[in-house]
Amino acid sequence: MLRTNARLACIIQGLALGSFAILVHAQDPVTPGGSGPAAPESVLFENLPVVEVATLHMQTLKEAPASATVISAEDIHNYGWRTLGEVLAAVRGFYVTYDRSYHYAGLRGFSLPGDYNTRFLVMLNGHSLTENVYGSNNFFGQDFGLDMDLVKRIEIVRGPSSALYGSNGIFATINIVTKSPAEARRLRVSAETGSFGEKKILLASDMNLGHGVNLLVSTSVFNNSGQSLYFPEFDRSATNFGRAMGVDGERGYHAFANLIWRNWSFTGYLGSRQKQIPTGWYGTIFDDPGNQILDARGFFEAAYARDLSRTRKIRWRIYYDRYRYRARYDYALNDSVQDYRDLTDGDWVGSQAAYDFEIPHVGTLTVGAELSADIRALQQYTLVSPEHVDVLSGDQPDLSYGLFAQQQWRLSPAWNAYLGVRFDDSKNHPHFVSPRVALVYQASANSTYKFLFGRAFRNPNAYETFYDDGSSQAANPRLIPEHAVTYEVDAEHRFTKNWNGQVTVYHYQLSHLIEAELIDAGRLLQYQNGERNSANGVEIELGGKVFAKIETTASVTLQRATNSDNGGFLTNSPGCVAKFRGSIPLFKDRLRVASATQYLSARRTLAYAEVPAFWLADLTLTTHALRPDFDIQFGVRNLFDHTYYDPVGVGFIQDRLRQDGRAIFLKLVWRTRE
Amino acid sequence: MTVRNQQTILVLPLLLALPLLGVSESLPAVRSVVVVASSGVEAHRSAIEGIQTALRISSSQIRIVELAEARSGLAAGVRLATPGVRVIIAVGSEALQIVEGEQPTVPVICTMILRSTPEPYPAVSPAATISLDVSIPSLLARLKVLFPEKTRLGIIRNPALGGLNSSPLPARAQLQGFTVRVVECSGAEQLLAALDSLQGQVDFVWCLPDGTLYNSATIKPLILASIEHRLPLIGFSENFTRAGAALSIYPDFRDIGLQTGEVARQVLDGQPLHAPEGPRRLRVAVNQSVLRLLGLRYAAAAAGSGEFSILR
Repeated sequence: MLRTNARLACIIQGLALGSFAILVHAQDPVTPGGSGPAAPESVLFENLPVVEVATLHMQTLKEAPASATVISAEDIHNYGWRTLGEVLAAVRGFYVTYDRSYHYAGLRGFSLPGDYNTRFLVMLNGHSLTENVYGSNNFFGQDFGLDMDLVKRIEIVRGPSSALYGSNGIFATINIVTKSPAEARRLRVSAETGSFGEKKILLASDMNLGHGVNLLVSTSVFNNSGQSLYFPEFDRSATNFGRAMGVDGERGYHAFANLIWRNWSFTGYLGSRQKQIPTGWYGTIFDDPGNQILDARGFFEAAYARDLSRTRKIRWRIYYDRYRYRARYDYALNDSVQDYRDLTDGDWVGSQAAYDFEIPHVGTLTVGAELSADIRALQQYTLVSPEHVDVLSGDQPDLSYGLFAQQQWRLSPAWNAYLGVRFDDSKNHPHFVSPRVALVYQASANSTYKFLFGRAFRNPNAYETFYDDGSSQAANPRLIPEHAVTYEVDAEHRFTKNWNGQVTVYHYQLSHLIEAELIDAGRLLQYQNGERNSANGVEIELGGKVFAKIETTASVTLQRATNSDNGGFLTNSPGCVAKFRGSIPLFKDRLRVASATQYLSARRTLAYAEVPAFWLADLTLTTHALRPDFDIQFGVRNLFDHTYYDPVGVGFIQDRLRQDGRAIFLKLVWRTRE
Repeated sequence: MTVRNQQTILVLPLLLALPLLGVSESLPAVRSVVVVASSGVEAHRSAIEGIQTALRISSSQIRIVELAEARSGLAAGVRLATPGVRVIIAVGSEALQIVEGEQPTVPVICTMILRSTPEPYPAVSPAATISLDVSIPSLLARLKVLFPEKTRLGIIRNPALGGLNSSPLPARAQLQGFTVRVVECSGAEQLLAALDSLQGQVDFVWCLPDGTLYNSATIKPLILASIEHRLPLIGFSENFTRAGAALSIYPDFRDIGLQTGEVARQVLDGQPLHAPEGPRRLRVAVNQSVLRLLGLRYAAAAAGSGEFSILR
């Protein structure tokens, strides 16, 4: 019933979108055609395309032949998005769930509880942030070590990217492009506070060191005291009647530095986030302040990019990456507490090179290679109190490489083909070939059609393959890569100068999906290659400006992600995801009012129940140059205080968690004048 | 007093005023100045504002004619130079063509055009011309203030065009303490080669206004090459700077309007006119990001002037 209602709501929203498009199309005047060659002096008045010289070092996905969304720094500022998760929650087709440990992103109906964001690729200026132990991208909350204030744009490319980047890029690739040191403000300080004890301070500065050397440095600290929560499943006298008091805190820091000089870019990134776990997950003591996790991620990279000529370009990078995970789990043992610790240390180095050159009468060919070598992939599990027992200690470093090529083929003035293939192999996993074909048909100056086929994969990670503590989880060295075959058709049309629309239809087929299964009469978890899953869906988006000033974007996604073997809907897979956002400048753009709403239809939980559909609205007020050096931002999240739930994964006593009610925040920004 | 009487008192003055209103409609103010321009172009709007300010006459005495209106009027035989009109101002080359087509008997002032075009002057010679061309001495003076230590200027010019493009400037010259190198480029396909030829020999490359060389198709490779080869570009518009030129030096369009208005005033007063004029006041826009990438710093003192703007 819930699904029927949800679908009905989606159809209504879709019709509303369509009507809106027709209305807008009808209202927008047709631009008159030119009356002949332009006057010679008009070159002085004409707009010219802005060349992003300041971010030449950054790898970009903007021109990828795929269904893409670009979120600008202005969007982030206007809507008051403070985490990557908040950004994605407003983007077509994405949905974000939270289990009070991490935020998880879903797309195309896939966000399996217990999947630590392993089927996305998150990149920072083209540098992959996937770590080498869990293969995770847990970077959608404050665990992302870059503050949104430093983001120039976020490029979101849907669909597989293994043909270029190898493992993990199954559903989408998210590339965060940072502001260049040459274009950042000289000094910027911001302080924010909000509901649930949120506190954060940021300090960022850029320096022109002369001779073309520019440096951007940013650091921030945050400390959120969290909420007092009530969990009905623990409503017993032994567990404080379900109340978790003062055990939802979160604190940490972000640090980022980027130095550019001529063709070189040096980047340092370090972030750490410690979070208390209030949910009593994995049988730990409920309402115990000791249960907590810490994730720290960092890298240092040197990158070189050079245009050798108009048609030849070379990019090269070398890097060192690190990941740290620390966790404490308190278990009850009679009247005492058993203090278990998880320790994970990942360190790896790598290098990537790509060379673009033009093949006459054909198009651009990109060839490249990547090598990654683990220094450590250490997993330890230790009982530290009341006695010391090393339950698990294993280090299984991997060595992997990939070779890739992509050819652009200009078939005709209207047709372009992009043929890509990548070969990956590693010490711990079998080799894999990822092809990709994209046909792009430019039907007119305003209409583009893309026909996409791709095959992507994800290698089993060290945790899924080797973690074996003998009491809760068993290793499975026989795991093979899971893979997806995808088909997609994308139609984009520019209705007028200010309005454009996009429709995407897709089909996904996933095989050998790696999922945790209970074995040994339910005593142990083991990751196994399992079922085949599929997803079919359609996404519709309309974006533009009303009265040339009010920016709006509306989208609706109708999808069906199912288990191919039994036909059942996947867990945490909404049949409909709808988004609307708009921002209005007021008082000669001194104040910007922005609102984003999202609707998610009902989702199945692991207990085969359903969490109901919900819709949320956010509101953000931002001043623009209130004073030349000072601005204020005020935001409300879950404006109407709706009650809603997210499904959660294995390890929880409950199948769903209630999410935050209405919350407010206030941010003050001070910066030096020009 | 009855209601009927009250109505009569109110209506009577209105009835009496009607003929007066009719008279005022049938006798429009004499419009002595006609300005032909395109109000859709912001630069033209700025120039018109300047013209109106400089003329210091009632707005009812100036008739602004849109290009499209003037073009259709010309086709229909409706003249711009109606009785009473004493001067016509053509803003831009398209306006000048239309005015030229009418063969007016009153003086024509031509403004906001480039002399560096294949046909800078029409068959009907204007009484006065205020062009958009930035002269080399003006440009070098600005450069000297902004970057006192840089003394080598490269110029890319198209010999097919007039004005500075075809002036007898040798390939290498010494001007105002600058060494100037000139590279000829007659087509977009030669542009990158022209730029490359200046590598290591100049501190800046000046791009003269030319839509065939600088357009949306050529701008990206040009900007990328300028960064790659450490050759800062001097553009000709704020938009060029925004696109990625290190700086641009270009006319102040409102001041061009003021200049034009002053010349028109001279015509109306019957004073003699001078030779074609260039812009008196220039604007400078710098791209801070590009300058920083290229390791350039402008003199802080230069940034204080009202003609200076910083773009990122």
